[in-house]
Amino acid sequence: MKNINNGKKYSVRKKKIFRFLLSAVLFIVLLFASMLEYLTLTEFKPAPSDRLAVDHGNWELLNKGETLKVLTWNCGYGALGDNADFFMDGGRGVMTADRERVQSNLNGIMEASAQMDPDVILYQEVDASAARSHFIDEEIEMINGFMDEEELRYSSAYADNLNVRFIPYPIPPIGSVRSGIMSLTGAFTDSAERIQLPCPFKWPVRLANFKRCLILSRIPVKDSDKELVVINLHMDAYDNGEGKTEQTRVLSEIMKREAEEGNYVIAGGDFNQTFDSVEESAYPLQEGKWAPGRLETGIFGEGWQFLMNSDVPSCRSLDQPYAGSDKESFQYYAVDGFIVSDNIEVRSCKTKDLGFVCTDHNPVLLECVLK
Amino acid sequence: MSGYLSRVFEFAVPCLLFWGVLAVSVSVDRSRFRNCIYLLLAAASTAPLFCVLSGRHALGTSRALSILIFVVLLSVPFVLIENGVIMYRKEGRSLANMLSLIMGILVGVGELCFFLFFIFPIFWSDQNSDFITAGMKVLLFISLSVMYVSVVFVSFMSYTVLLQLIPRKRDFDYVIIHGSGLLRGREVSKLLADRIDKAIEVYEKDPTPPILIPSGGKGHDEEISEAEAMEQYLIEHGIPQDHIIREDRSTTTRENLIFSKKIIDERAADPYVALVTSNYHVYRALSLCDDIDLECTGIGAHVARYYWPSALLREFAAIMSKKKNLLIFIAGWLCSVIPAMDVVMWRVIQ
Repeated sequence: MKNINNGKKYSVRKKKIFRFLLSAVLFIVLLFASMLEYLTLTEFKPAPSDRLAVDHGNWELLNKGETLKVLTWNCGYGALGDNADFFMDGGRGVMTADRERVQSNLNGIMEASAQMDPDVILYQEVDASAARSHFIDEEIEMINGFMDEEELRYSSAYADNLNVRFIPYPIPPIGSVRSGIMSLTGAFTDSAERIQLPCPFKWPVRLANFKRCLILSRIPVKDSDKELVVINLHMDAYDNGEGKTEQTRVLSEIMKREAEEGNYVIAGGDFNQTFDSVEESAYPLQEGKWAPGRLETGIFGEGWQFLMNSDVPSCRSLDQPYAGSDKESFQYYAVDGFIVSDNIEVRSCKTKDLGFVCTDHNPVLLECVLK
Repeated sequence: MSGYLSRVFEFAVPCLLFWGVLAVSVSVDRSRFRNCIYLLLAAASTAPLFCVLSGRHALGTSRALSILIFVVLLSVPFVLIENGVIMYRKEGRSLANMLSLIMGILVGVGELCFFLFFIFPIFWSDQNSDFITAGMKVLLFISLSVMYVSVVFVSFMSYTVLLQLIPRKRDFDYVIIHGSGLLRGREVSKLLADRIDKAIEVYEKDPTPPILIPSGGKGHDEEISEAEAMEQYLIEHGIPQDHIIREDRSTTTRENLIFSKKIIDERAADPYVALVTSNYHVYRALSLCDDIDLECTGIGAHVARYYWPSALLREFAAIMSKKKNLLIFIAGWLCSVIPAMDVVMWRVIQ
């Protein structure tokens, strides 16, 4: 009799454990399904082309023959300073800076930018509203950060390239992000357009990922029927390589079309690829670290100048913090630069060595003259 | 995959997952209240899928659906209050009968608050900004709370319906008939007659006629036991006496089931049992069955349409009054209304 009783207790307990485990599994499936549903319903789906609001203001027309300074800089959304490491690069960080640090990084970026006194600034990784940058509106900060005696120094155009209500990984999750690229122009700007680039990711991975784009700004040139077309870009970083290549191809088509019209074309930004005009030995790839792509300059055809320096790195790996590390053996990259049409005379293109204090990229300054 | 197909696929995947979770949970333990919530989630996730299935017309479909839902929601307080008045006239005044009236007024107040919440900002000025903001918070709180209670109730109601839709084999061995109070001490009431009629229907559709067990003891104010009255009714309607076994000792639903189970266990080793009760009562009855380890299929008898809302509300109140369920109900209320208030106020303030 005792044996039968014990048998029954055992099977009842087994049943309870099974039910508990099943409830847990069902709960996880439910959470996953809810996340899929929510993100699919709120997915950012930009049009192939969008007109951006541009302030015409009081800016003067651009002159041929005058030196034009164009700066490109990836801001690391203000949170990738020399203290940061990031899990996607092999580090561990997710929330890599507190509010004060983000603010001080932004201030540092703006101060350094202002010192170079550029006519055009192309920023990448500007958070409009993101948990990782404590919901500081970096777009507004940048617009208001360059004042010229109570007037705005630049006309701005901002475009989202990452807009996800909730990125559910890693642990802790990245959360809500609205981030993009921003073009600041100090001359009269006629219009700016957001052009969607091909997205290499499929559903459901695509839901929590970038929708890369270009900002194409049109700046009329004084006494000319041609325009200066300035293109701000930020290609995919963590795809399998084909994404960036396809995006570069689309860029080349657009640039060729503008050049055929006789316009002046400057494309600058973070390519996440090294131009094949730069020797591979400049920044050898260490094992296990993130690898940039290689940009085939040949696909652009004739009539272009490819400007990317190898003497000063434009980007550092985020697999570990920069401060206090061995700078000699650190992994660096050259991925930021310019592609300029032949009707522009390039005076210089330098990557400024600012020691990666405020962001994981160095600025690249182009000085040129429209012919 | 074409754009249309991939869109459908994207919404079908989470939808199927939700329905899958419901199916598994119901088959393992149909008496858990969480199944009601799973049903709600599954139904909610079907709406966007339905819209996307209409391809180009997705936006139009979603708008039509929204309007439909809006119209239904607006009519709820009127329907419930009208039902409350009918209940008062037909069944007399008691708290149980007034439930639909109370619920109708509650939903009406909630909807009014919701409407006012959107109107309030119009009167905003620098002088009364504090009052307006505070007023909006109160209005939002009331409407969200009413929304929460309604949503939980509707999911319970839907689940009650779902339980009766689950297909079943027809060849029962035993059919327990859940008794209820007699009229004038010895007559079968309309409610009870509906239950017995349902049992007769099950009997007639069964390829191997089952044994019917009318279950119900004799109350203080009754002359005969409910089981005896039910047996008479069955015989008058042509059921042979040898297919009827009375259970006439029970005084509560729980006892109905325990004593009926005893009768069955004395006669059969692995019986296929059905329990016939009023449709609104199926959830609670099955829950009791699971408590006492009585494996049976719940069959809901039709109930007069005007009676249904109050009865269902009463069931809901009875289930929520159990301590465990009440705690979960309150926890759910805190976890959903408070963050929702936060989000809505934050958006509106901007």
